Amino acid sequence: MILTPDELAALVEHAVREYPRESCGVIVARGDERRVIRCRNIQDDLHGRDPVRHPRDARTAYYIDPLDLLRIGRLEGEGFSIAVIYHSHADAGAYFSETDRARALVVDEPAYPDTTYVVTSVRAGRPEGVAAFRWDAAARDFAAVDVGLALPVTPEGCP
Amino acid sequence: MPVTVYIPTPFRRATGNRGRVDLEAGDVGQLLDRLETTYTDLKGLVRNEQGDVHPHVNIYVNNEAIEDRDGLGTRLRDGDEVAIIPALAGGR
Repeated sequence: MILTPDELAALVEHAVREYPRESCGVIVARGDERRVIRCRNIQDDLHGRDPVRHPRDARTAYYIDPLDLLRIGRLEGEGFSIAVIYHSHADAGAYFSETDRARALVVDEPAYPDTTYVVTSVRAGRPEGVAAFRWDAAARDFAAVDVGLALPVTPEGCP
Repeated sequence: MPVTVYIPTPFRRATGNRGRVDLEAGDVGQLLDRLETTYTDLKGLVRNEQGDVHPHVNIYVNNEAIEDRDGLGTRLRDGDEVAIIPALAGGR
């Protein structure tokens, strides 16, 4: 299992609420206990401070607030591990981009080899798709894996 | 009592999968020197060849970023918690 239906609903709700900015967060797990941790995307702050070094804003990129990562690190100290790292693409598909791939590697090795990356697509404010990716050690690349869930239906009757 | 260092998942392959390491150090720069001496594979992951912390790596002493204090010269006290936090980022 990559996501429970409730977790998928939370990720989609987060993505729609942040639109047209990218949402980001993690799901941590300890045994059967799981927690969705919505993180703050500070990409706009970085872009505002230094647009040369950070040419993208939060419409096309995410950068999790390091303070959120500090909090997540403390949870790791309590026995949790990062099961899922998620973000959204605004007005783009649910794919693992070259940027996503490059930032998920540290010196050509996966930063989180046992973690699933989940990408949600939102177009015009509506959820369009969700996809998941994991490191394939044999292929030495990230490969799509089946989420196994359909997008939740919105009150308007369509995803 | 030494300082406790939080090693994030992306760097644990350099520390024998240790998530926390206890070290004696007077400041953050000295702490990184000692970490890199003990765990040589950490070299280059946290700092560049000039000894500067990579822009995509944040270091906190307790809850405070070292750039808001004295950078690598930030003094450490027994019992402090130092966290090394590489960026988690991406985009379409």
